[in-house]
Amino acid sequence: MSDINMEKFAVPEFNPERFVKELAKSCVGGEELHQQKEKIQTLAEETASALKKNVYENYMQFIETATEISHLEAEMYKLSHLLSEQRTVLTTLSHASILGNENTISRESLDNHDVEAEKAEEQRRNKLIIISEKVEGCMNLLDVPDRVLLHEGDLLEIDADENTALQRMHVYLFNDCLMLTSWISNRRGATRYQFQCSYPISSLAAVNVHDLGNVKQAFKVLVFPDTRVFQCNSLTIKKDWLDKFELAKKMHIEKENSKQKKKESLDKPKSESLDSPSLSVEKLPSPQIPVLPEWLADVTEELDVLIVERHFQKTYDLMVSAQKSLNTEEFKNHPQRADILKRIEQKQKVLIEILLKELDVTHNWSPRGGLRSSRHPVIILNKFNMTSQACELFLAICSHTVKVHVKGVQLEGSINSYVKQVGEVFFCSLSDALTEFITLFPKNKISAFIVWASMQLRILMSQLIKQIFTPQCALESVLECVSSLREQCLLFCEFGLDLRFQMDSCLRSPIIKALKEYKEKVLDCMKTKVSDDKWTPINMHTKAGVNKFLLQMENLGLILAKYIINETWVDLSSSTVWFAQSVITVQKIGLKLVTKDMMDVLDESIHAIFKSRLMLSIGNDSSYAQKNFKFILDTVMPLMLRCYKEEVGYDNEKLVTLAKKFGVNIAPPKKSNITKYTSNEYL
Amino acid sequence: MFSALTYQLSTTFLEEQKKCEGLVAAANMSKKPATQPTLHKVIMVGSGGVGKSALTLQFMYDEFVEDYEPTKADSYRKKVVLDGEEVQIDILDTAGQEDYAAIRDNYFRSGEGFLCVFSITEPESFDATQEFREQILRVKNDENIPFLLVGNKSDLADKRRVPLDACRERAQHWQVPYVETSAKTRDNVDKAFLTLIRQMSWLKQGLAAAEEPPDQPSRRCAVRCCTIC
Ligand SMILES: Nc1nc2c(ncn2[C@@H]2O[C@H](COP(=O)(O)OP(=O)(O)O)[C@@H](O)[C@H]2O)c(=O)[nH]1
Ligand SMILES: [Mg+2]
Repeated sequence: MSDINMEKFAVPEFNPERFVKELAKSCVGGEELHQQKEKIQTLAEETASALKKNVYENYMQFIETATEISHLEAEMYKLSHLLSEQRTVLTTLSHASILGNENTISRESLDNHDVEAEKAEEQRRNKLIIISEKVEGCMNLLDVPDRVLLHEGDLLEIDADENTALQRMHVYLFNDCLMLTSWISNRRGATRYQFQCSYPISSLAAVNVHDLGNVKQAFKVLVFPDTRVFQCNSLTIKKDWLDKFELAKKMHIEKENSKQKKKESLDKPKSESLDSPSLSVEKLPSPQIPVLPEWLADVTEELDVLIVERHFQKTYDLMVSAQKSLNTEEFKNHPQRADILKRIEQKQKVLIEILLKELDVTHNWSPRGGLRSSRHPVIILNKFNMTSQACELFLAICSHTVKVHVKGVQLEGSINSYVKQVGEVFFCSLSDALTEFITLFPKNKISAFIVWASMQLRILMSQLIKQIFTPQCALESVLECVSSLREQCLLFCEFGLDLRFQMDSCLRSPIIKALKEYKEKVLDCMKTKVSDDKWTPINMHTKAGVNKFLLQMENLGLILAKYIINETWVDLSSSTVWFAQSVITVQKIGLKLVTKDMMDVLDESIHAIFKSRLMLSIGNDSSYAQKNFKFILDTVMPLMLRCYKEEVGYDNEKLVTLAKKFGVNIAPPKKSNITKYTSNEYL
Repeated sequence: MFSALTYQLSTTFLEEQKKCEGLVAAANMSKKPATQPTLHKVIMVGSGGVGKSALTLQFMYDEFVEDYEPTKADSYRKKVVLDGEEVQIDILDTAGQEDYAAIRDNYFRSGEGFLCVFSITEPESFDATQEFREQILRVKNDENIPFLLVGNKSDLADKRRVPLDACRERAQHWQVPYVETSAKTRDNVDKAFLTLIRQMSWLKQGLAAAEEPPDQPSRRCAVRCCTIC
């Protein structure tokens, strides 16, 4: 008879018919055949369930990967967005510098990155070619040397007079023109859109539509004599479009200006003398007015460029040096001074607004840059005396990162390991935030951080408490969670911020509640346990069982070797052992769990449990019950009293009174170190 | 796995596309005939801070908005009853003083009537109306374009720095009506807009009439009369 297992079926040349035949041959009688059949069936079931499990796991992996991909996609999109913006700026700049504009930054970068410029140019062309392929009857996109795509997207065209939907469009905005295409409904191959028309950027005006009956989120493009109205899917999309139109116009104006300048400089080639003020003083009709150096005269344009390029620090530096120069004796009375200063002030407002947006978590702030990415904006804002706003926004970012990190911890395995991990992650985030905060903000702001940190802790604790303090959670497990949190908190004190008080105040009421609930549970159980007790010794059956039992009791502080009789019997009744375990556990764990201000609750719990047990013994005359009663009074009670005093330093008055009432002989008060000796003797 | 994802995406995409087509078709179906009231396109021009947006918002929504964030160009639409007839007014509120003049042209081209606003507390804004007028005439190439000179902030009489005579004189010179308004108290706000719309309406009817029976005597005189104050 052959053994049935997986390997047999897994071989590639497995032939079911032959297998069955062989099986039938080798089996003796129907009974055995039946058994084999059953075996095969269970095997089939197992395989099926394994398959199911695998499918499920694959599915989960698939979902995870999909979300990851969509994350990545968003990031890539953002990146490409940034890159394309930068590229447009570079092209305008390169254009400007060829025309002789003094622009040291762009020159450097252009010279250094010749190869990159070539690459960018190739990418630019490729992108345009791809667009041409998508659009049927597309205009020639490559005929203008520095055309770049600024924005594209789907829009719904609205009839401007009737306020009704007209057609679905795909619109491309280039730096020099707007191209409208419509959707091809039954598309073939790469083409998706049908070219409709294009408007040069200089001929159009974009208008934000505030109110157009029931049409929402729309904007208009005025191209005389046409007015075209487009509806967007959301306000942000609309804003994006309007911003991009603004950018296109700005670039257009800049280009026009530089063309103008080129013409001017060609018209009067003698203007070189402007470089040396001494010469020009002689030549100019009004010699008392010094000529502004070019960088100072053009400072606002340069600031614009720097802002678009996101060189915020450089923008700030340029602003400051321009303001400084304008305040020197030389230019103090210059006629353009006030005007330039005013414009610099406007740019400063723009810069501040952008920086505040950069720091705004609610405004497309990406957590992947980490806290560091907020450094520059904060530093500059501080210089603008905007420390408070910067601080507020920075802390909002911190809140966000803390939240993200804590959320990242998976709730799997035991609650203890989860709480431990969450605590670690939380305090790590706090210390990261604190380190960053200290480097960024002046000392007097630290109070804001403390307020923020305690707030965060409170939020965290309120979440954790719900998970730790569940009715079915054992006191041991609660203690483990609480201890690990306290430990983390203590470690965090090394950073100079002590949050222990806040943590304990959060823990206070749930701990009290847990102790009270535990007490109630024990009291409930005790009645049935005692009344159901058969008042006989406990049989542990084996030697190993006995040893295990002794070890358990020893952990609680009870040495019970002398209560073992006949090798495997414990000479105590089951309710007694249960009681000793319960009451000692309450005290042992409770003492570690509570803070000083909760001692009365703990004392009360211990007292109530003990008292209730003692009351139950009164009136039970069975001699074995009386023996157990004696054990509780003579062994358990003194042990608890001693442990309590060792731990806390003073007596548990309530329990002492109870003990006296039941005639327990308590050792006369000795000095505390002597008590310790006794305890060692005992162990 | 990736292809599965792409597939899923493309199917939802197609579905959406279909829905959208249906929408467009439905929209096209319901489109005609329901003749809409005549549409008059008005443009607010003038220096920054004179109260163009405040006037627009007061006219549109009956409220005075103290600090309206300056945007480049906002458009509004409203139905009004003018002399018993319902018309639509499309207002383009421009911010544009720092805009490049060539781009401002593109806004002005779309306008059929202009409210040229200055603040009676700010002589510079009054001076600037000259420039706006010239640009509009150049762009529209029409001396008779409906146009209204508006002196705003009349509630700030104690801070007045543009004498009423100068305002009237300029309007007279241009042969356009002059209105003093307050976007704050709503004084003359409706009047300013309605006067302009009436001009536009007459001009349009006049033109339409002029195409059929030649010559419509009332037009020129009715439009350019006096200054309203
Ligand atoms: N007192 C007064 N203030 C006005 C009036 N109209 C506008 N303002 C104020 O003038 C400022 C500029 O107004 P705004 O409408 O933004 O001007 P715009 O730049 O021409 O659009 C705002 O602070 C308004 O509150 C008015 O009629 N009276
Ligand atoms: Mg405005």
